[in-house]
Amino acid sequence: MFWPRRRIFCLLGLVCAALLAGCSRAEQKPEEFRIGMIAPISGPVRVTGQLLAQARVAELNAAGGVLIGGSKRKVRLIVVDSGGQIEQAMSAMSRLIEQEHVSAIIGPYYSRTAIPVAAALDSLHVPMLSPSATSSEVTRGRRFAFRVGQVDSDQGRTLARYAYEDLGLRRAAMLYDEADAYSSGLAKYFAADFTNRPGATLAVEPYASGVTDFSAQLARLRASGAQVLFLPNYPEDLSRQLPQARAAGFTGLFLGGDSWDSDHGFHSLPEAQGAVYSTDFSIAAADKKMLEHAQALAARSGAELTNHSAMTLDALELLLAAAEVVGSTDPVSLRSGLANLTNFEGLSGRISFRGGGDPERSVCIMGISGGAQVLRACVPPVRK
Amino acid sequence: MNWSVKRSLVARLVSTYLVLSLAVVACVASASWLVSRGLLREAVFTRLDTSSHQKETDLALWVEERLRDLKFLGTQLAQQPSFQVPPGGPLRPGPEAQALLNDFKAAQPDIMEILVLAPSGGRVLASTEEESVGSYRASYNFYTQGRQGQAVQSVYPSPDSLRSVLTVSMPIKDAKGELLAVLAFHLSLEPIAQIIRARSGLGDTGETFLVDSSSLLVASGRMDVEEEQRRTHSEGVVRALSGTSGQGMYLNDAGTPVLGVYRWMPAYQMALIAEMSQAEAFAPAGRLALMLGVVGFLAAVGLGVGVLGLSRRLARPVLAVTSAAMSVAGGDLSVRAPVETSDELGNLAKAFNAMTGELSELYDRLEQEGRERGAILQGSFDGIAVVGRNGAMVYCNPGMERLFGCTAADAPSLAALADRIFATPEERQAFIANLESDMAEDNPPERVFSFLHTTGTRRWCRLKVSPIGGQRLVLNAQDLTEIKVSEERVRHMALHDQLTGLPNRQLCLDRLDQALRRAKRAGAHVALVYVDLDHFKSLNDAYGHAHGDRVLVEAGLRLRACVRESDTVARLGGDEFVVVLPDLARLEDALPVAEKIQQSLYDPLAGGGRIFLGASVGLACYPEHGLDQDALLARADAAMYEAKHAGGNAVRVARPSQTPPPSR
Repeated sequence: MFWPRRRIFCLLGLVCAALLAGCSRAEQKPEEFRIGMIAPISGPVRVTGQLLAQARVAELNAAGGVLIGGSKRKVRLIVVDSGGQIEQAMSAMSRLIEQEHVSAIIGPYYSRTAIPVAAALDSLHVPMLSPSATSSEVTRGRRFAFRVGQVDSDQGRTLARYAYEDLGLRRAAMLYDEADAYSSGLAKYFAADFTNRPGATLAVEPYASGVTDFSAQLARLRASGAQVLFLPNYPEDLSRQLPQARAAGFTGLFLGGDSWDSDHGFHSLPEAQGAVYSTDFSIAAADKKMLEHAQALAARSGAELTNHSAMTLDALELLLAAAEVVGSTDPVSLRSGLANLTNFEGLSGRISFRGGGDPERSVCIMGISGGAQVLRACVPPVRK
Repeated sequence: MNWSVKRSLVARLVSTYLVLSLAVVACVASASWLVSRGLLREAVFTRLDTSSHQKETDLALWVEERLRDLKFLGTQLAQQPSFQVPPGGPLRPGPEAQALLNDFKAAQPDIMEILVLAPSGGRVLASTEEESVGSYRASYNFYTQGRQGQAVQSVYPSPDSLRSVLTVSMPIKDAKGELLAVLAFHLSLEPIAQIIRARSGLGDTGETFLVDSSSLLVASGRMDVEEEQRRTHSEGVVRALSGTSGQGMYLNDAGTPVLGVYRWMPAYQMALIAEMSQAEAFAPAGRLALMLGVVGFLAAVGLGVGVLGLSRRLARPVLAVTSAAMSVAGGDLSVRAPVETSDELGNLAKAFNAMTGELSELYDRLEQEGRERGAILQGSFDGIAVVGRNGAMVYCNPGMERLFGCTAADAPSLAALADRIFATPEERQAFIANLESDMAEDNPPERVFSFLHTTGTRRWCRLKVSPIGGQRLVLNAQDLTEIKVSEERVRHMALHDQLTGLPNRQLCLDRLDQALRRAKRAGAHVALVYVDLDHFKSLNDAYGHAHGDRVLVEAGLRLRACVRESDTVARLGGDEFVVVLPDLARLEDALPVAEKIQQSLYDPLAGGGRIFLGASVGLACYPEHGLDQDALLARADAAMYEAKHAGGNAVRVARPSQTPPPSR
């Protein structure tokens, strides 16, 4: 039996249609606002700041996304581990740009990794917003590098003024890690401001990362008769330096920078009691409504409301605000949006970028008392 | 020959064969293409896999060599006298050590920079690049790992150049095992690129390339691509960067379909990808399929020619029968189909010829019958016509035209015919109504009617309508005029006297009877005048019978002149005449008539006194003298005899009847 020719052609047509349908690709998803994040999730100095930001992104997306340029866009936060190492951070940055095509990057958290990443991103024209890297080197001479925290040059000046003016101390000593960009940078700015003040003296002792015995340096500092010992170092070193300093016979005040807030483990040491340090975020100084919202988010996501997580949340909100202002997620537009953002009310206070990457912002002076952090003073932003 | 597929048997056979055979050729070619493609794919994957495996081994060997270099230099440095830690101070490599580093780098082009780092803090103690000295590398993994032992830092973008770099590092320890420094090489990836670039027998389009974890090309066989566009993205790259190794078919970054083998090398955080374009890989399959297709197509065309010849041979008898049938359909019954074979087709031709022969005979017979019927119709003296049920004249034979005096062209319908042959509308309507009722019946009666011939004479016709089924009827008409005329003559002769032309006794009695009936109904009077010529016998004897006949004729004429048109003058026989005067108002009205008759028949001067010699007239009236004709005749006869006896040439009225007249 022969088939009618028409039916054969119909059959051939159907086969062709099926083949074509099989070849066609799925439609593209509507454009997302893709934000990369480089955080030391593994490694020696861990940060869990990403959890709160991820909870905030989930909350935004559940509400339909963010209104950018007249249309609601979902936000995608892509978190990549840096392991606290420069090589891994560089690879992470490269992957976020080349593969994930992000519009901006939050992080890295530490100046030592933030500096090479900022240099690379500046040449790639993608804005970077570090929540907590404070070294001046991160933003100096760069157009696309921003930070949420106070720059070390300001912080060093703030701490020097507080010690000199508010506490009336004149003889200071300083032990810092010359191999670490943050530590050496902050030390440099503190020294520059403090030694310029009339009657002030400063004894300085550097060390290199990895050292565990600071007794020689501390003995020399003790001998200088300092009233205050400035330690712009990380908690891992501090937990050794504080007991060793007391053991060396130092009885004066311990003064620290915002690195003291990255891990509160050593705050319970008896030697740490009465110490003073500066930081960007304090629960006591935060806006009540914002704090409640952040605490609710933290409770929901199982995150901790720490200095890092608060600053990360502010970094995320700053990027969203900039995108809303310029109505675009294009990296270059985002950069100009960030640079012109003024009087942004964040969880860590009011923030203004006046054309540059370093914010004008308030700083909190904290004291350690009974193992807890007590707000000693709030230093308002200084208009540059 | 008509080559339209729908109308030609041969075209249909050949086209169906061609469609089917080309479909088979296409299927065979496709199947061979698919099978050989599958085999080629496996073969190419094996080649790509071998090639990439070879390159990975080369790469591992190269890194191993660099590690041996590192170890060698580390041992050399440790033996340097200046490479000793001064008591209480950090290590300060002397110029000899620096010279050693510089010499070593100069000898090894693979090394970009040699670094000697402090055991703690990562300070650069010595370097082949002067600007690095004094800076710190504490946060670098190669430093952290290098303190522990020999380490290979996977490829990462250099913060200085953003170009991919590979770093190997190791600790330098003194004799006591104390860490003196960390030695590190930043290695140039150019040698890797050369390894990758090396011709690998992957054909014209085959290529291998290395991609780092951010999908940047580290090295590839394509120098131009490497320089212009360092980013690459394809399914193979994505799969490899997700940490898997395998093979697949996908589009490369240029959008070309390729066969690819990809390997993820976790030790270097790089993917090694070997690809070959599908076009080149599957070209033999395409050639095989093309060859099969062409050969198959040519074979199909050749066979198609054969099928054409065969089908034409097979179709020839059928076509011959078809051609003959078409000639027959065109009216030529003399055509016969050739009987070429003894199979079914031959039987078909025979059957066709037999059928055509019978048809031809039947046609001849019909034609003969038609001629006969035509002659009958044309020659018939009767009128025959065929009309439609709507009255239209379809056919009219010459007999019909003669009968009515008009042709079918003059009277195209029965209504037109009626207009021509009837003078009054009533006659026409009656004619049409009769025909209509006849048309509705199966066996209608014969109709006889008179009409006006076109010559102006009145004629008679007998008409019968015969239904023949369908929408037509046959009219048969016969001219009855001659029959009618002779019938009339016979009737006249039976009721009239042949000599005088006056009604005879029978008609007279008939009329008297009618007059009496009428008078009885209307109460009128009827007079009967009995006349007998005087001396007729002597006239007859004296002058002969011819004269007697002349007397009788003249007497008849005078009698007719004496009475009204409605009165009847009859000759009973011999010289006896009777005059019936009907519808009289009174008895007295009859007497003057009787007297006038008596006077008209006495004319002694006429004919030399040999014709009217007087007459005896007797008068009897209804109802005075009798109630029936016999009584009246008898009384009138008696009265006449009374006059005759009185000498003749006188009028006598019958005596009154003994029976009284009927009351009024």
